[in-house]
Amino acid sequence: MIYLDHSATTPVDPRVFEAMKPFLTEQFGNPSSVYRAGQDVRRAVEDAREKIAGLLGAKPREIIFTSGGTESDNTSIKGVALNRGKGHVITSRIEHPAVLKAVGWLEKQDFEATYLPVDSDGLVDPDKVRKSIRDDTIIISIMHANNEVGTIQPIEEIAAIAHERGVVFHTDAVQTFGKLPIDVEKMGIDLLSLSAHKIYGPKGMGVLYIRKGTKLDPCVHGGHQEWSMRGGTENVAGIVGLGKAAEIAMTEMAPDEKRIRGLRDRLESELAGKITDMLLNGHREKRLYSLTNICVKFVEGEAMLLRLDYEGVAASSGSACTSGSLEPSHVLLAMGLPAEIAHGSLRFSLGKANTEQDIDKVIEVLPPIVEKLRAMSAFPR
Amino acid sequence: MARTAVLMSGGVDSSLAAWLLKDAGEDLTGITAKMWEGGSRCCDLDDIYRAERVCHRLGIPHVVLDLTSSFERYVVKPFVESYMCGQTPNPCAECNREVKMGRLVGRVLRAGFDRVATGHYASIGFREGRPLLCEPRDREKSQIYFLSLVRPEILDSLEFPLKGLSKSEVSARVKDLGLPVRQGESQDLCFVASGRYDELLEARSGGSGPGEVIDTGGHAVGTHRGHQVYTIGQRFGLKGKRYYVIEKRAEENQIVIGERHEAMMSTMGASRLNLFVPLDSIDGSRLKIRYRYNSPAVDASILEASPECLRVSTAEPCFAPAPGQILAGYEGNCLIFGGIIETAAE
Repeated sequence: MIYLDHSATTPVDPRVFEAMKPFLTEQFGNPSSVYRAGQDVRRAVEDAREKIAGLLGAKPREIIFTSGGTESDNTSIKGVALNRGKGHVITSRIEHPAVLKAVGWLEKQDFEATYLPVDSDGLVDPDKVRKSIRDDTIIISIMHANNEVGTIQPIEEIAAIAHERGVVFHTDAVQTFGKLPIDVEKMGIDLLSLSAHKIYGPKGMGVLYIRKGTKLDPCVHGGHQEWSMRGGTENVAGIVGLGKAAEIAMTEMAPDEKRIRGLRDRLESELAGKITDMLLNGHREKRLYSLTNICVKFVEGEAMLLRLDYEGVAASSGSACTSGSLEPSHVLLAMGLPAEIAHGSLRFSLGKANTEQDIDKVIEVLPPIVEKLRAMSAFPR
Repeated sequence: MARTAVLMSGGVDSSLAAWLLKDAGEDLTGITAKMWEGGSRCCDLDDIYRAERVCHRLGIPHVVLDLTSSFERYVVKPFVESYMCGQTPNPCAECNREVKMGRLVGRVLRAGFDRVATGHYASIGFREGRPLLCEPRDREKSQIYFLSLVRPEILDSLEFPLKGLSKSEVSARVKDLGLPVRQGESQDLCFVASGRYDELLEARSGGSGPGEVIDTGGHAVGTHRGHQVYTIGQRFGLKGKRYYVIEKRAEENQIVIGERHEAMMSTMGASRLNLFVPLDSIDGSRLKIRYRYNSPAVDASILEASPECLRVSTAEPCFAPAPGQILAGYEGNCLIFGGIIETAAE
């Protein structure tokens, strides 16, 4: 299989798996236990916390381990809302469903929300953020880079605007952690979500960064773990795996970026040369180097995807979290694309293991697939 | 190797159809359509999960396609509108034409599959090289009446693995194989969770409210609960005597009742004609029609026909044909046309 869906998930790096193994077998102690078998495990958890904190420019006490990006997003938004009891939330129309659905749920609980539009490149306008802040605005949540088109948002500027009015700023950095440098201090981030399985770590593992002094209520009540911000015995192997994966990502980020960007750019330009009526989505410069999102006119993304799968190429029509649906991507619609064009979207997201041959294969198989599909018009759409 | 997709509902029939194709060595993928959100008596998340588990057992890929907006647009909404206009719609036939054998099959073929198999009790026969929908071995379970509106162009791509099996053989095989299927039959009106379609009509349209019941002479004889609640041919008790609903007048919100002989009709007009053979090739001496599921086939002759609609007269009077239902024409074992009944007369 040629795997080109790294924005959906990545394989676990063998070095990460090696680091995790002892904590799935002989080092099984509960980190909260007082005896040594527990203490040793506690140390591994805290070493990982320190590592993650260092990589984000944060302090260990500000790092909470969660089950993934979705939980971190939910805890951020609902946690601040539950703490305040009422108020107004600002987010964008292109957020991940973990943010959009959490905000939607708050609206049902009598909170109010503003969903900011984006321009045709998928960028949020900081000026629109400023204008939509109200006296009762409690949190602004804008993603670092979009998972479907890769557009990178001006979050530093937006965070500064939020702080002028004393509003908490949250960002979902699931797609950027390990790919772009993040410094929560410098960027003014109060709450940040990240996930392990997007950076060659295990699934079911994430982090919520909470700036000291940020007031929010826990959403998972239970034991005293994670300073009572998130009850439940720690996912020790997951935490250790995340620590290792983050460490590897940081040291290998620069060489990986150069190579992957080269592959992506070649894929994009050769497809554009071979397929007529094709659009490239997302900002041309302010964009993740690892993915390309295209729209092929007069063809459905789903049909291309299933035919690519049969050719041994794994890609996506947008987000794995909305697959199976023929509804066009909410991100592309928000960027102003008509539904019939948004239907024809494909996302290729590249990773460490991809080679020039992988790109050759896509360039070889996709254009004839498009041609065949454009010739099929006998059946109702 | 040709690629086959099998449409799977999570039920007994489509699960066995999948097993048979896999057993025959086909390059097979299971496809399940998500059609309806919220409560239903089939095609809900449990059934999608069952279909997925059957695919796991067979070792074949499983893909879920979302057709909820098509199902709403082509089945549920027209169902409500048709009832509120005084007709008795056949949502399964519309679903087969527009959703299952329409958009779903279209999406599956575009996704690179060469053939689409389903668990329907039906078969494909040929007449002058042209594929036709024909009766399966198990005549009692035949579903071709419900398939009579599907586009003829799609028949070339269809396959019915259960064509030579009886329902009891199918059930026994599934039991022996231990496939994790839904027990029990798929239901008509799968999207009406409670089974009470009148509740759906009221929720969607408000219902017509109570109105007059009149006899065939035009005299008011009582009141009814809303015309949409009644079906042509339904019994209607009045002063200890048995009558039948013989007409629904939506505009006046009246229903007309009469005695059984007054519901007997010998001509029917149908619109939205779906022809499987050229009109001029129909052999008038062999034509039979059905005007409701499981009604016996009746000898008939064509009074007039155009590519869009036709009128037939039946050799014997038919009890209570309902506008909105399917008029299906047969020659021998095979369907030659389908259409929607618009009018019926003595």
